[in-house]
Amino acid sequence: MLCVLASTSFASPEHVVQPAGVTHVIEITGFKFLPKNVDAQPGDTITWVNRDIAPHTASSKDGSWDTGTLAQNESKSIVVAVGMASAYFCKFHPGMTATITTKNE
Amino acid sequence: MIRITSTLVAMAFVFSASPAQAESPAELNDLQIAHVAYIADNIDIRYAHLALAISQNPAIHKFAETMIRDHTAVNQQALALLDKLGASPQDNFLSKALNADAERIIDEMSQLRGVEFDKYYANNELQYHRAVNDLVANSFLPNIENEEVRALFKAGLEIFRAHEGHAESMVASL
Repeated sequence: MLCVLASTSFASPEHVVQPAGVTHVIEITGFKFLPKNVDAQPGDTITWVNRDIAPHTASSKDGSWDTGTLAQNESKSIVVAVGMASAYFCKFHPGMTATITTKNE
Repeated sequence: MIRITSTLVAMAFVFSASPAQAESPAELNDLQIAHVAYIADNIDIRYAHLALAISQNPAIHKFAETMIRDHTAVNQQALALLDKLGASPQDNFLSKALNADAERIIDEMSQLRGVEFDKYYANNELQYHRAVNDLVANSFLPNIENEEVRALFKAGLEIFRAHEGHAESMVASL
């Protein structure tokens, strides 16, 4: 299911748009998901990397996907699917929220 | 009415009012500060275990589990850093006072049940984190000499400020 892809790139911290089939890296740092909003397409990979001392998760608000616990410097990836739930948060620190906007092409 | 006071809250008032106190958090050295932080983390972990044992509120349980998880992670980093530096934390007046205060609070909390316990725990967490954050930001960080210790305390402060916010939400919801 997971697909490791060739390129990553970084635009403004708030909003990132990539061509299809890329890996989007989201850093968890300072109790924030950066970038906070990511535009992705089905087949892309989202990789979360936790840079904080505190463990975090990236978990969809509707419960449909979840990275599980990320200890410091751990990373986990999820492949973007059609209709993937966009709003997510850290289960341990509910004030940490972000979104993934999936474009269906 | 449940009276929640803490050594930290009392000290913040006393030290702000009379800076000539013989024993001041600002006079602690790095190893004593590290000891205070370790004790403060362990106290919150103890409070959390008590909450898991007594409360039946799922939100309280989630918060308590996060306290255990996060404070344990910070302590592990602190001990690893001290090990790297070849140093041991030093006991001091503030660590002793924190422990004594915690024993009193645990004794009070353990006699409560239901919503009364939940409110006591949540309010104590909010006040505790506020007081610790004030201590770290205003007494410890300006006086820590070792750069790595300071960096760890800055990271710890970030975590505890998030806890303070979470505790605030929890208090509001009860």
